[in-house]
Amino acid sequence: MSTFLVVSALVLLATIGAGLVRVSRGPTAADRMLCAQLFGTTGVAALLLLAEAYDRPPLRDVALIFAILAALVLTVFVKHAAIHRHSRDGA
Amino acid sequence: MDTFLTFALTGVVLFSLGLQEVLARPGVLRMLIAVNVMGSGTLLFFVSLAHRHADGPDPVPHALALTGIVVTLAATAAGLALARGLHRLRAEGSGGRVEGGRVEGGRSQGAGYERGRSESGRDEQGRADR
Amino acid sequence: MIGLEVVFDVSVAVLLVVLALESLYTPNLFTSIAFFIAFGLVMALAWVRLQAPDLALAEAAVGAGLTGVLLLDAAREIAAVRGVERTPRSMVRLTSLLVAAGVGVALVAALLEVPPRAAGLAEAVREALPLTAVEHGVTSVLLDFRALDTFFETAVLLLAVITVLVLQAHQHVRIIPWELSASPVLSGLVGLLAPVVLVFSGYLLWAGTHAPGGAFQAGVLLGAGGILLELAGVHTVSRLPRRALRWLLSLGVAGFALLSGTLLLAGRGLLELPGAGARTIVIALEIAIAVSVALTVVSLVVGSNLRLEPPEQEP
Repeated sequence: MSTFLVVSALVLLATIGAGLVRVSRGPTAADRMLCAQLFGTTGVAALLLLAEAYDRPPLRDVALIFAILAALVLTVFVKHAAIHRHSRDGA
Repeated sequence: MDTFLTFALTGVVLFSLGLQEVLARPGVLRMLIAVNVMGSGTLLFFVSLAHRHADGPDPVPHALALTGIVVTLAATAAGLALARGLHRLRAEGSGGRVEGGRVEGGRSQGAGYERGRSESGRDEQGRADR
Repeated sequence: MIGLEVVFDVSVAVLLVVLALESLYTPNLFTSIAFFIAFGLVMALAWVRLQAPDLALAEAAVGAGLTGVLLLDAAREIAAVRGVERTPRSMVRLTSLLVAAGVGVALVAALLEVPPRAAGLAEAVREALPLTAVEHGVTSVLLDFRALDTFFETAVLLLAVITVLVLQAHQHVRIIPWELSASPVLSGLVGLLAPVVLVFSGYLLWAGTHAPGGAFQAGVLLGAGGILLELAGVHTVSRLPRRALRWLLSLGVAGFALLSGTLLLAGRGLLELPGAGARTIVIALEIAIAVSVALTVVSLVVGSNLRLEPPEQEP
C-alpha cells in the first residue's frame, strides 16, 4: 500500500516536470501563472500521499497551507492583470 | 546515494548557480531571485547535514534554517523596497515631477545618479530595468 | 522500497535544479518569477524528504507564496514585465561561470570529506528536552536553548520592516493601487479563507509546543491572511494607528528584551528561563513573536505599495 502511495506521488512529480513546458512556453502570462499554481495543487496531493505513506500527520498541515495560500499569488496576479487592462483601456 | 548526499549536492549546485547569476550582474530583481536561490541552496546543504543521524534528524539546524527562511523573506522585501525607491527617485529625476518640499534631497540624489549613469555607460539603465 | 525513495529524492533534486536554472536564465522576467514560485513549492517537498516538516510549513507560506507576491509587485513597478532579452557581456559571463564552478567544486570536495553518519546535536537535544518547557525539539531550540539567536532574529525582522516603512514614508506618489476594486468573487473568497487562516495559524502556534509548528510558521501564515484581507480592501493593518503599529511590530523584540532584563535583574543568566513558569513564558513569547511576525509580513508586502494613514489619524 505504501509503495503504491509513493509511486503515485512520483507520478505527480512527473506531471510537475511535464507542466514546466507550459510555464516555459506560455504563451500568455496567465498560462504561465495558472500552470505554476496548478503545481501547488499537485503539491497538495503529493504531500497528502506522503503523509499517508510515511504516517506523518504534520505533512497534512503543509498541504493545508499550500491550499490556502494558492489564492494569494493568484489574487495578486489578477490584480496586476486587471490594473494593466484598465490602464490600457483608459489610454 | 542516500537522502543526505542527494540534497547536499543539490544544495551545492543551487548555490553555485545563484552565485554565478549574482556575479554576472543581472538586473536587480534577477539578482534578488539569484540570492534567494543561493540561500535555498545553503539551507538545503545545512539541513541535509542534519539528516545524517540514524534515528531522527538533528533539530538544531532545523531551527536555524527556519529563522533563515524568515530572514530571507525580510531581506528580499527590504532589497525590493530599496530597488523600488531607487526606481522612483530616478523616475522623479528624469520626469521632473516634484511634489512637496521633501523631494528636494531625493531629487538631487536622483540627479547624481543620472550623472553617474551617463559616465559609466549605457548598459546600466538596461540592466536596472530588468 | 529503499530504491523507490532514492528515485523520489533524485526526482525532487532534479526538479529543483531545473526550476532554478529556468528561473535564473529565462529571458522573460515574469516567466522567471513563475518558475521561482514553483521552485518554492518543490523546496517544500525537499524539506519533507529531509524530515523537516517545520521548514516545509515555513517554505509553503514563504517560498511558494509571499516571495512570489513581493516579486510580482516589484516587477510590475520596476520593469515592464514583458520579455527583455539580456545581453550579458561575455567576459563577465565567463568569469562568473568560472568562479561559480570553482566554488561548486570546492564545496563538493568538502562534502566528500564529511562523514556520512553523524549524530550532531540530536542526542543532546533529546536528552535535555525534558528540562525545557516544551516537547518539540525545534521549538525548544528556538525559544530555550538558543533563545538568543531568536532574539536577534526578531531584531533583524524589525530592521527590515523599518527599512521598508522608512523608504515608503518618503515616497510622494502612490503608484500602484494595492487593493482590487470591489469584486464579489474576491470578497467571497477572502470571506471564506480569512477565518480558516485565523484558526489554522492559532492551531500552528499551539502545535509548536509538541509538534511541527510554532511562532514563525503561525506568524507568516497569519500575515499572508492579513495580505489577503488588504487585497480585498479590508484594511486591518494599514489602518492601524501608526503608534500602535510600531508597538505591535516590535512586540517580539520587546518581549525578549523585557524577559532578559527581568532575568538579569533577578540574578539569573541572560535568557536563562526559571524552571517554574517556563512554559508560560515560552508560550507568551511565542504569541508575541507570532503577532509581530504577522504584522511584519503584512507591512513588508503592503508597505511598499500603499502609503500608511497620514499622521493626523493618530489618536
